[in-house]
Amino acid sequence: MTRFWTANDGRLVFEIIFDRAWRAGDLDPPAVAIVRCASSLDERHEVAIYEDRPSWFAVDFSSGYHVHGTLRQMGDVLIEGTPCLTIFADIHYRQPGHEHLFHFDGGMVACPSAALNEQGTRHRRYPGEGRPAFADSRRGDAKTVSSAKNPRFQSI
Amino acid sequence: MAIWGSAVAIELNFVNNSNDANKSAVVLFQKNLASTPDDAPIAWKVIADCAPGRTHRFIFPPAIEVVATDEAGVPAGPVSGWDAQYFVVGHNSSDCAVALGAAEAAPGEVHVRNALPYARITANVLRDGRLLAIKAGVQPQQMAVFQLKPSLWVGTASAVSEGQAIDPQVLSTVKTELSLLGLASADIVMSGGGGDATSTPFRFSLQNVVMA
Repeated sequence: MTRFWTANDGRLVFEIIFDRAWRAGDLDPPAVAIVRCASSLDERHEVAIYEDRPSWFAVDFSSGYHVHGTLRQMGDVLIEGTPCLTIFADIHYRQPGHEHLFHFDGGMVACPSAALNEQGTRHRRYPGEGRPAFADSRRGDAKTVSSAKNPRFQSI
Repeated sequence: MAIWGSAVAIELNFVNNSNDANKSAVVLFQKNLASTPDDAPIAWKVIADCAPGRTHRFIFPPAIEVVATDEAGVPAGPVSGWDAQYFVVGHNSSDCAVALGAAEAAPGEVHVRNALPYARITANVLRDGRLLAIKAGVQPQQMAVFQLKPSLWVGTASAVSEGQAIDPQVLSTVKTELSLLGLASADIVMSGGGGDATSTPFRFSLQNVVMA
């Protein structure tokens, strides 16, 4: 369950993975955003997204792109009458060579809750099973959980 | 299942909390992501004379309308539909007419196919009766594609009129994109401004958000 949000004609990309929890075998981990820009494809910054608080992050790409702000998850938002898990953002981003910041505020991407629940029932989950060593702690501070060039995320 | 827009009209309330003494006009528009560099965004709504401390209510309906005009400017339509719909412009007896096509467009996209044998058309997409996007010079058997994210760009501007293309210089000053995804209602709050040394750039944000 992956959704994409882009800005600047696709040059800044947020790849939101809703079902990382199931893939990682974690009990109830958050969704994850992979932030990257088209001109620095090998740079990937990961941000864990929580429901109970916004996750603050700031990323500077070697290409000169900058983005900072918060991401937050909200459950069962009705979109076209369908309850959805929705990612909200309040972010500012800057293109290389520019001083001014663009601002994006509001719902970024959504995924039907039923699709995630259905996927959850197909998986038997056990605490810690398949949990990667670098998994973020749910109750820890919001932070970037992985930064550039982490090969362990290539298969997600 | 693709998730894109809202099924009901979104109630928006513009709140001017700025220190703007000049009563700057506020322009709101959607960007057509499928446009070419020559296609400037259209000023969908302009809020003028909304002084600091005042508000202005408006709605963002989910439905859109399509009007086609031929090279002589003769209109056909409007025909109402939704994002993700496919419109066909063709002949209805002797007149040019717009109709809903049998197929569906991708979520968030409006397709307007020119089925006329010879004439070029201009495809106009309207929302709430105001021009939202335009594609001129659609050749026979070709299709105009509008890809509209559920968001509004908002900024201050002078010398901009509803339904007119936004000047590139004005466009370069608009920095804020407010998402409408999942909204039932919200305030669009403008802050900043001022005419003295302590003035700050105008800022726009969503507040008092009510989800659908």
